[in-house]
Amino acid sequence: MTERPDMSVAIGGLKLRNPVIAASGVVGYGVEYADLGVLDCFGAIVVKGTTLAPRAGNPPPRLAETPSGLLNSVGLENPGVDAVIREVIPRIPRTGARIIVNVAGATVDEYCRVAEKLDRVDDVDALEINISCPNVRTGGIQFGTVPETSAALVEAVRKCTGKVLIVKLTPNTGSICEVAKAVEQAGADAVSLINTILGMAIDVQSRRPVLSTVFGGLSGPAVKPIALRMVWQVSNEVTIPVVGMGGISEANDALEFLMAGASAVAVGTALLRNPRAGLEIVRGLEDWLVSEGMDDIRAVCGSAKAVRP
Amino acid sequence: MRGVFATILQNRAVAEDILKMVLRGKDGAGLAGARPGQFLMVRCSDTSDPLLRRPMSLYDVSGDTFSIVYRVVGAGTRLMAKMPEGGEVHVIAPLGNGFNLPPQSGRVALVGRGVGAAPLVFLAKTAIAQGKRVFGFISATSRESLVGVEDLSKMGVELQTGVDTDGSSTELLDLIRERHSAEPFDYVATCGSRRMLRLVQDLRTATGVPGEVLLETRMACGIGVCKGCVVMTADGTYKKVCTDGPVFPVELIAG
Repeated sequence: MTERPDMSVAIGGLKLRNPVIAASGVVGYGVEYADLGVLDCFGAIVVKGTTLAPRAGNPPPRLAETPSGLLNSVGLENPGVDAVIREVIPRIPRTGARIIVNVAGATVDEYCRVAEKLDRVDDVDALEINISCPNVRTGGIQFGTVPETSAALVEAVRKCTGKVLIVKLTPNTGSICEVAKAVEQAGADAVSLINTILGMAIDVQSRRPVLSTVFGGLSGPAVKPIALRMVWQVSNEVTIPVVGMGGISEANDALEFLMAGASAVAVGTALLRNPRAGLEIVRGLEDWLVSEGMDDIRAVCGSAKAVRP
Repeated sequence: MRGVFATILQNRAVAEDILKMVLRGKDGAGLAGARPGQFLMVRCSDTSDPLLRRPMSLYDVSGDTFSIVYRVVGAGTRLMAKMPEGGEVHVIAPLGNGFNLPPQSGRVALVGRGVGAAPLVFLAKTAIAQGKRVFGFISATSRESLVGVEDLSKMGVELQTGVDTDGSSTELLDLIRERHSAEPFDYVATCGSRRMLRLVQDLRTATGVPGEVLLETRMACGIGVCKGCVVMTADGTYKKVCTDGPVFPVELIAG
């Protein structure tokens, strides 16, 4: 077979040329990685968590490296939605990757106002509603741990935008499947999971927590088995597409998430270590399909759940 | 900047727990144009543990080779110390903004402690090539852990060293003040010690001599993306050490 396999997938009404997404917070504003020439590969790029007003973020230290993982407490540092629309989005190189903006806020009203502003920007293809940031004191995760508040928020944002709405879920809840079902009911076009897992590290020399905020969000290969399990569970419970993420570093990881029921995958922390990770995963997925004699990536989605004869 | 595999030409101890690694990019392109104060992100493992690259200031750039001098402090640098000469390592380079030697400066002071002296060696080489007179004030916890002093004196830097275990560097700091009041420096660069930074800040406040500090922090990406390495600056905003720095005017940084 000389023809390349069909890598395109759909997230709600949004068609992506391939299922590999650059996760929020790791391509910054899409500009930095462009210099390294590694942005062209993605199906979509998620612009970092954007709030109504600028946010300074949390005091340093904001990072703690853990075994195969990274704790961060950046705290949604961003220049605010107006600056993102005016200065950031126009600078993102248009490579064929869709542009998704991650939306965060402290109140329902704030989410709505950010969504309204972004709704008017042609270059924005979809919104990812962040109801799961563990690093801010109000909003974010407070919505995402309870099905009812999650649904109320999504319902309100749904009224503010006709763009594809992806809701990013937190693993820091006892009921991620209930939250997923609730936001589906409320009008979400897709869910993405998982956001980071709340964790901490202590510096034994100073006898103090490493992070200024004490707790931070854990990402990287360390969280992958948990993320994979949650993608498996949530994709059993909802009919809307699931974007899977959590520790994906290579094509094999992406395949696991697709097989568990994800329609697309996002790469985050791996890009910090290996800027070419996205490129390698896209190529690796293509090569795998060819080696398996398959011509469509969509056939992989949920394939680990198929009942074997 | 670019990501490149580099051949490890040399990786051996130059002081106590401090090694020098000399590299040559496998694409043969070298780091022409890289400036003192810029850094590399070094991948220290082929596995996911340790996960992150390590930021390392440039010690020298010469032809198609470049080098770093690093102290073994944790898991990442322990792995780096074991990398065999002749092997290869992946680096992203050059990153960040370098020192800004004022063109009109004739007398340059470099004030460094421990491995913080490493980026000052590259700066000294550049300053001397521009015909400046360079004074080095280098301290460490022991004579064995002084960094760069041999290379600095070979270059013709007028060198003063100090050894103290508590970081006070009292004699050296007094000496800098004396020298500056006898015949003022036109520019001072520092790295590696809060006390030394405060001295350079005091000189700046008292006599207006411009000073710059190179900050070293933990980083995840090194290219301005993750916002993990920020420092609070005097104007009340966070600045990224990686892309806003790592070199900052001393008056911008809390001492």
